[in-house]
Amino acid sequence: MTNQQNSSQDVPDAQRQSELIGYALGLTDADENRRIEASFTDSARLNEICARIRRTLAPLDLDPEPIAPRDFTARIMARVERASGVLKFPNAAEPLEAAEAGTGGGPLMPMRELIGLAAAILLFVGILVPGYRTARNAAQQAMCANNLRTIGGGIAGYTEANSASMPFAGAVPVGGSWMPAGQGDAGSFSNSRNLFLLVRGRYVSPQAFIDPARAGDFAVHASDLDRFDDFPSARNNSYSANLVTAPWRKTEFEPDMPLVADMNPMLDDDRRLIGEGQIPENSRSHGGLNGQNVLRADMSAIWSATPRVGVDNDDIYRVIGVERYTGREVPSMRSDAFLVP
Amino acid sequence: MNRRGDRGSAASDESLLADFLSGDHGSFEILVERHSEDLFRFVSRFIRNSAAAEDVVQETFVQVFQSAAGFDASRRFRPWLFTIAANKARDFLRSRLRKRELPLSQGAGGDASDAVSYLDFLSDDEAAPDSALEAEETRRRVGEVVARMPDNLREVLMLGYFQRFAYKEIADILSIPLGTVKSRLHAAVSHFAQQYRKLEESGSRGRGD
Repeated sequence: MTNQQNSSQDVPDAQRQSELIGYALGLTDADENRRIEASFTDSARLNEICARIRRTLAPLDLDPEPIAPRDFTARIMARVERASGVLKFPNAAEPLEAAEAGTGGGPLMPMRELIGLAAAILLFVGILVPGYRTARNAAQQAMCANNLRTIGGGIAGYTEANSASMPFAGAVPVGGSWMPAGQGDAGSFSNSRNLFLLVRGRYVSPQAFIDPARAGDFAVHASDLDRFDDFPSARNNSYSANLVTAPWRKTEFEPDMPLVADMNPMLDDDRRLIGEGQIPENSRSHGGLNGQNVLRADMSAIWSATPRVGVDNDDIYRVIGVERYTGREVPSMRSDAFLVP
Repeated sequence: MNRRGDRGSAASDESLLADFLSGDHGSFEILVERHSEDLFRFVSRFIRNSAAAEDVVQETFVQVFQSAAGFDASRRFRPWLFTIAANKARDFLRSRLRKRELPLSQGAGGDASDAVSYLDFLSDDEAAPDSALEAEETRRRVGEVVARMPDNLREVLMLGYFQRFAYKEIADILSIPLGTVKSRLHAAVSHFAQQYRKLEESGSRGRGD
């Protein structure tokens, strides 16, 4: 064995190091492994280098392992179904079996033609109408998500111009109501006043607060912006926002903290609390899709098939531990998202 | 017992995709169940944002659903899935840079191109992580070093170290030559070793060790 050979093995060159890293991590194939092993006359030296590579990278094992949401598969499937224009994956066997069961062997041509015509009509209705509804629902959901991204952009612009402070028009008085103005008692303070700061400050167009899936909602007129400090009509804002009880800064929130989402299901179209026992789990804004769009603090807009999309799977439409609502509830803690208009 | 799960555990990814293309939509859900968490871990570590990672993974499966017919049956499904996810994750990082000009440290090498400088980290006496350090402090340092690593190096490191894709599979996923994968992984390891050591030394000075 020559000294020159030993020396070249002591400090491998860059290309050699690349191969050894792959070998140490098990990324090389069998041929490469054999070639690398054959190039070392002293296998202990090869093992020592591999151990050093693994030791160098060992701190990476401390990088916390990201944990996917509990209902991740359901969320993905809901997104796939929506994007693919199908509400449910079709089971082709069922309608065929039903059709076969109904066929008779009689020689009545007019009746057959009639049945054929009826089947054709049913087929058209069955395919085109749900298809149209599905496409319309999907388009509305996409436009709504785009609205939330626009609102998120407006929030980012607002915070940049206001020393990272989030839009905050004031707090709900202690024991007061967060219902929109005119519907609560004297102690009410509409939560939508915070969002209205974005409109009034021209950070977001009034149209971005109108969810196309909510037929009765309409944008506040531009000439009215400076005359009000809240959306003049409950129908001018399709969305619910996180209820906050004190001024807050953008940096104080977890990236996945929900900020704005489709309308809280506890409220009817005129923002009145609906009866107990009739409250659906998800927002009713996109009724055909059973879920809601949510804007989070990192400004991503996601679709969720469940309202449990807050921090630690918190329900964004309900306060932890509260079952009966009067309009006076406030979040129990900062991580407890409670989105109301 | 979940019948779908039983069937799914026996079938290969490629045969499930073929079943899906034949009209068995349940097979697609099995693929989602099988890979979504692993994909989430990769994307989340790569883009360093778990909320956005959820969005990226959802978009990835939407694309798989819509593009399944174009899948080359001679290839393996998992690298193809990661190819789509890596592309979408890079799109996210690019859009984030457009939105906010982050002062992303690219290290001594300037930009994150393939013209990486090779650090002979093996020639140094690489110390093992100080076992006496608080675990939380070490975690923070690791997270900081990985987050500041140039995107193209972090991507290769995540695929190689955490996902254990073979060199050739990483080349397929990223559509780059095999030699580039090797040089990038080497650069990533060097970068990590160098930056981690720097942080460790500055931490020791701060503590007055």
